[in-house]
Amino acid sequence: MPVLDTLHIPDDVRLDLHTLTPLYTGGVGQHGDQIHPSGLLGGIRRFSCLLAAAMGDPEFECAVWGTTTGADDHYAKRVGLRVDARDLNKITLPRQIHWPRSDGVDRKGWFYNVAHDGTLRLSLTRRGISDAHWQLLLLALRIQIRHAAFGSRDQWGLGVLAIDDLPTVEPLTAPMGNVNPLPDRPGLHHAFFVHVTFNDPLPLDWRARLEQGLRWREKLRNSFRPGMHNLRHYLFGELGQYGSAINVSALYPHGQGCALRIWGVIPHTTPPQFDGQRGQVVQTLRQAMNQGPDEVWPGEREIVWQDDAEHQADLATWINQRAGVVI
Amino acid sequence: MTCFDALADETFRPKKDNDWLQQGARLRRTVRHDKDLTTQRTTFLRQQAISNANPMGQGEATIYRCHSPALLPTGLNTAARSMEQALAGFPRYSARLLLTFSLLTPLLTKDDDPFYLFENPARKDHLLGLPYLSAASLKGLSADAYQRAFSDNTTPWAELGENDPDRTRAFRQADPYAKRLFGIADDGVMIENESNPSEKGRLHFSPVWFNNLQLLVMNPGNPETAMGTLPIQFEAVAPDQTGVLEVIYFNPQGVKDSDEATARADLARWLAAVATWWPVLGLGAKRLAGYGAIQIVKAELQAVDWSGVTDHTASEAASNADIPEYVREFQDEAGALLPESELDSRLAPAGEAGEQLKALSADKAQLQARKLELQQNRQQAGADKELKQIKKGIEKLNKQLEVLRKPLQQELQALKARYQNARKWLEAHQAVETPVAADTPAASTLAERSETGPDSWQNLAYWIAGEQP
Repeated sequence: MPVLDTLHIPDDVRLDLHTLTPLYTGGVGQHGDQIHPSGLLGGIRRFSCLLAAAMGDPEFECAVWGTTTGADDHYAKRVGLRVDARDLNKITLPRQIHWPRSDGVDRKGWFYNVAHDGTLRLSLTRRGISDAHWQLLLLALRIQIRHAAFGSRDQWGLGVLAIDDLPTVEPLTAPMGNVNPLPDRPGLHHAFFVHVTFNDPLPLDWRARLEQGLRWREKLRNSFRPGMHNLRHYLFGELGQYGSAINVSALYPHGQGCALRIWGVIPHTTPPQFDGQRGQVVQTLRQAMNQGPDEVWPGEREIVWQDDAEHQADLATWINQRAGVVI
Repeated sequence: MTCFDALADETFRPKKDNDWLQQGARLRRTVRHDKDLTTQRTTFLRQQAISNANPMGQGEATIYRCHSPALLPTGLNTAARSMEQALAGFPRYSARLLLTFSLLTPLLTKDDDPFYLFENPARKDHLLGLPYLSAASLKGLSADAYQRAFSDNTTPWAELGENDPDRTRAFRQADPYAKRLFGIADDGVMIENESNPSEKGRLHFSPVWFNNLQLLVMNPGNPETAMGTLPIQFEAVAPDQTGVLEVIYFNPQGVKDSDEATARADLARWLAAVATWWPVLGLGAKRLAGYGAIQIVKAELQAVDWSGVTDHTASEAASNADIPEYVREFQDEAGALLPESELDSRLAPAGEAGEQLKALSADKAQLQARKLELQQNRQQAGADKELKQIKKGIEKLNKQLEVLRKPLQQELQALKARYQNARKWLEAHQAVETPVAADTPAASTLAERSETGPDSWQNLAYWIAGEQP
């Protein structure tokens, strides 16, 4: 009698992700010499929770990503992440990128160390996660791949990944009534995503690619000057105070030309701050983007702006479009 | 020297600047408050855990190497034993699996050491400081894999009992393969309708040893500020190392379900389960977060009297065919048993310690020779006085030798135990040559089979079961 007929094989999704901009996940010496699973998991977890919050699912985070060991009803993660970085190569990035600033202040600029270029193989394995939560997780992954980035220093241009085949997932069905996003939690219903494409070919060296992203970032940040210290620090991060709400990628290849992406969630903290000023913030950002930085990459450019806050009435449909899943 | 010794000794000074464990122990010793701990940890990270740091203190994670003679084939690493050493005397249809894998990401094997500099030390041998993944962890991880691989879809796991021990028990009662493989524990509780509630499993696990450690940092995000504010350090087994897991299936020949088909079915199911689930879920702590990811490299099966496995001993020289490896280990060229006194030299420490050991042993031999001489000529003037001095000298040398040999005591004991087994075997087989009767059962045949590559564990499992993947 066969004894292996009843063997259950894992239900998983495997992703071969190619770096469009270098991938960095930190490390004990902040050097980036290794890929650390926790640096990837944190981003995937956060992005999926942003989607769940937008869809009004308060159970998602604990049900999928587990609870702390001190919780009354303690359980482990219901998905397993596997990271295979053997096809990534270490690359050395420019140590420091800076330029004379328009306000005459001598700033140190941005510092980089080592990052990774090549193919990252990820797999996520189901271990008790419900079908509905699995669907949300895969939709979030698709949105993260298509519009955002992975790992650390994504606010400084790193971690944009691409994939040949996005994970297959069923689209969300529109609920009978309105979706009620979770209050007091950041969610994709407060996200915006911008793609800026350029006709000119991609510069060959990393310094130029990173500098372009940083110049866009500087332009956006400066649009909140003069004054507005707290708001500026909240939106773009400040050492020891806030993590960045707005991320700007480096230039990456796009067709015959190149592109960069800008995205953010405003507000991005729990409890939310400055949420009453979101409309004003978004308007300021759009104006700054339309102007572009002074030293912008030459050639024609096109800006595609998408603000999820404008689609509250048909959020499920909008999420499907954002994930590239057609009903 | 253990960490506790270092804490207790105010005069302790590490011998080497690059000895991670001793430096950590030294820094931990002076800690009296949490604030001191943070300072000392920062010092340790800067001095020991980061290599080639730039002026901002940023650099690569240092790989700390813990090489030791204890990982030699005769030492702690039981997976390095030969087939004959490992399976000598095992009943028919017993088997040994050697499963080789490489680590893709750091492996977390949390130890419980209250005197360690960091809150999350890797599990290490307390005497030798060598990192390992414990046999108990491996049994638990493989039981988890088995439950996933052969769960009964009709009853969800949560409904098998009130808590995990009850569910595990119910699962194993329902799956005879699992019950034989992992055993069943009653935890001292009387269970109704079960005449023999506790049963030992047939699988015996050994630890997997590694050489290299590194430090990791995880910095969980604070939702209030959207940034990491509390970095947590973890000591981990560094990736890009190969580990070999030794698992022995002890077949209790003569009892129910101890035929070859049962042994093969049990082992095939266990191997298929770990081959399927470990590569996706990983090993050790935080495996679901991506740590402890493995790549399968090789699978070796060694079995007693299994059919269809290559007869390993057939290829051996005819003169050695009947002598087990564990006996040959202690024979000289003429086949005679080596003197027991030679065992000490086999496990001598290397380097400076080795030279010191040699010198002390030579001094001791010289004193012992003189002692013998004096004992035979006690009438000689001053003989008694000199004998006393020599005895004192020998005692002093013994103490010094003990200090040098202490780290290897466990190995030496194992070596001596094997030596005694070899001596008994030789006494039984050489002193009396009994003609073999016609109806005497034939000696057991050890045989082996191996597969390599990422699918090797899976392929071997299906081969053992006699099925197609």
